[in-house]
Amino acid sequence: MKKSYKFILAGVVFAGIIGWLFMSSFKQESVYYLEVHEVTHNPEKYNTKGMRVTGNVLPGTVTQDYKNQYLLFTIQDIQGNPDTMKVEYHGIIPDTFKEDIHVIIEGKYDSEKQVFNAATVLTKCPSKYEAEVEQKS
Amino acid sequence: MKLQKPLDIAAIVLIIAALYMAFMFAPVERMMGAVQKIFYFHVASAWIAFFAFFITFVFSILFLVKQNFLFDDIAESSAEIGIMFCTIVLITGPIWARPIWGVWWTWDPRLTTTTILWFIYAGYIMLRKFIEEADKRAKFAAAIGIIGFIDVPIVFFSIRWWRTIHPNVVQKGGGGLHPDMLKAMLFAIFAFSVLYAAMMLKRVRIASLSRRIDAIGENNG
Repeated sequence: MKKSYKFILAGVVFAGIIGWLFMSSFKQESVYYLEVHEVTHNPEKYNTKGMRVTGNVLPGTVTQDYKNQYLLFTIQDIQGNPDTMKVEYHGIIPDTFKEDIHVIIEGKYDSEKQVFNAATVLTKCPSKYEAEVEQKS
Repeated sequence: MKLQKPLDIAAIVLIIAALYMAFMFAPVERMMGAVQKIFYFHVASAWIAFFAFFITFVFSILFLVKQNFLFDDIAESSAEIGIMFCTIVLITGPIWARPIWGVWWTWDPRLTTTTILWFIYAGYIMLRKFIEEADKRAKFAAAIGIIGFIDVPIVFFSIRWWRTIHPNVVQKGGGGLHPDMLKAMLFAIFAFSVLYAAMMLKRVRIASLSRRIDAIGENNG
């Protein structure tokens, strides 16, 4: 009898974890991140909401202060739209952060100041793997 | 078993050769540098995890149709080896993600569905431990082995279906990779497949021996 209780408990816990993982990943409009234009076209909808946004770090817009762990930059829509968004970030600057790369930022958008307050900056890696020095064989 | 020893030796030799292919033969990646070497083992482990769960799926169906307990042993063995490779994927992934993405983990569709996959088969193994009657255990486990497999194609296609941070390198629409990197990757998958076969042979043998011991115990008790 004791064993069957344990079995049911473990089953409920596992089903709970699996169900929770499913629910939490597929609610929130069921996307992992938003594009810049989706936010800038509906600033009211996304105002002060927690979300992720992806974009390309515009060259020449980066202000970084390693001492005070401060980062200010502008990202541009990666779908070819001209929309841009200013991003402010306080925290450890990732080693891989640089100009002209794709980033995903997590945080909240302030539609009044038109600034995205990022809590996390993720840098996307390229999906094309190339050799450091092109070998001709 | 006559096949066991040659398979063991082949697995050892091929894994060492796979290390050579990954570290010596394949070029260093331009953007990521040496850390990209983890790719070969990350992808190979993922493939073997998928394949192992597929074997569990197939032999779960076969068990329900034929009621042969050897099929149950194969399904169990493959699920255990599969979860081991799934664990390797979930360990090598964050090690790679930290220097490249800047975080150890993020709740991206690929990562989330892979975590779900791990829990499904952890649940499968736990279920087996909790049920003592061999017949009931095999039937319940087979049900999970069949239903749980649904998550494998979801994990596989997640990088194409949804927006994700996880790169798509070799699948359709992916970025592609240097031909020598592709060779190293395919070689690693081959080496891991032989390792899987060698481990399966041992694990299935253990499963059928323990089944025999249980049968002897029941007859004497």
